[in-house]
Amino acid sequence: MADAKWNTELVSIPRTLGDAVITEARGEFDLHNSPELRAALLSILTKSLPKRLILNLSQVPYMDSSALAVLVEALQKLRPSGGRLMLVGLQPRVKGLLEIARLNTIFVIADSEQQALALA
Amino acid sequence: MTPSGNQPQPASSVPLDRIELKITSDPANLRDVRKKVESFAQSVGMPAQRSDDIGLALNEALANVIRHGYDNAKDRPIVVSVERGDGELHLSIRDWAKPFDPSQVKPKHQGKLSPGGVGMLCIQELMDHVKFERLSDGMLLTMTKKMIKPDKR
Repeated sequence: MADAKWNTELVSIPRTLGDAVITEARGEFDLHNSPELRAALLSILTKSLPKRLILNLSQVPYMDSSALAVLVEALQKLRPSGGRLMLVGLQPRVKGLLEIARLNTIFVIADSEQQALALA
Repeated sequence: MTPSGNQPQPASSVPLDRIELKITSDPANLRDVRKKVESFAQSVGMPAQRSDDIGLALNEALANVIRHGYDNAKDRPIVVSVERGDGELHLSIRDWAKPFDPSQVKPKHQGKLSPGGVGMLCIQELMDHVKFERLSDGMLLTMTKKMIKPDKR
């Protein structure tokens, strides 16, 4: 897991908009490639801790608990500085996993990037 | 990974009653075996949402074997069997890993900022029956899910 590198086909190069950093994940995430999701998000958060990290998951039809653990780890890094992790465009299976894990209330969830940006 | 089983290969229009997938403990196999099992479940009449549930539960169970049983070794054997029963689907996962005690998995507390135990929670919530058996040379996990969601009365 320590050898994983940021694969920009799985997680896009982020862009900054005001106090938000926006990035997009693509594909199905499980134990095989969640280390690459982790490498990308931690790389983003190493450069700066934004007030809002908006992660667009509209192109992610599936993830398992190993990928969910990466999202939780990212949120844990953001929280001490008052940052939030905003998840956008959840597909049904991803939304279902969050509900099973009872973690659907700890992330900010929005339908679109525009809606996430509009949230206070 | 090759499907095999007790049944002879049927004509293409006749669904299999059972599949057996022999894989190694490489996480790269997870996606393929999950999709094969989801596809099999649907081929025997399970609605897509319920076959999705089976796919996630299977994924989490295999990930547990890989991480905790085989300590992330990629070359160890795992056999996944799926069989259509009377109104339900039976899954089994056989490994030759060190014994795993599911009671040692920390329970997941609602709303707590921790991913621990989520995989086990998925297995328990998504499957109707789950049984871990410690064998002399490994573990056998059997799981069952009804083909159709039971009516709530």
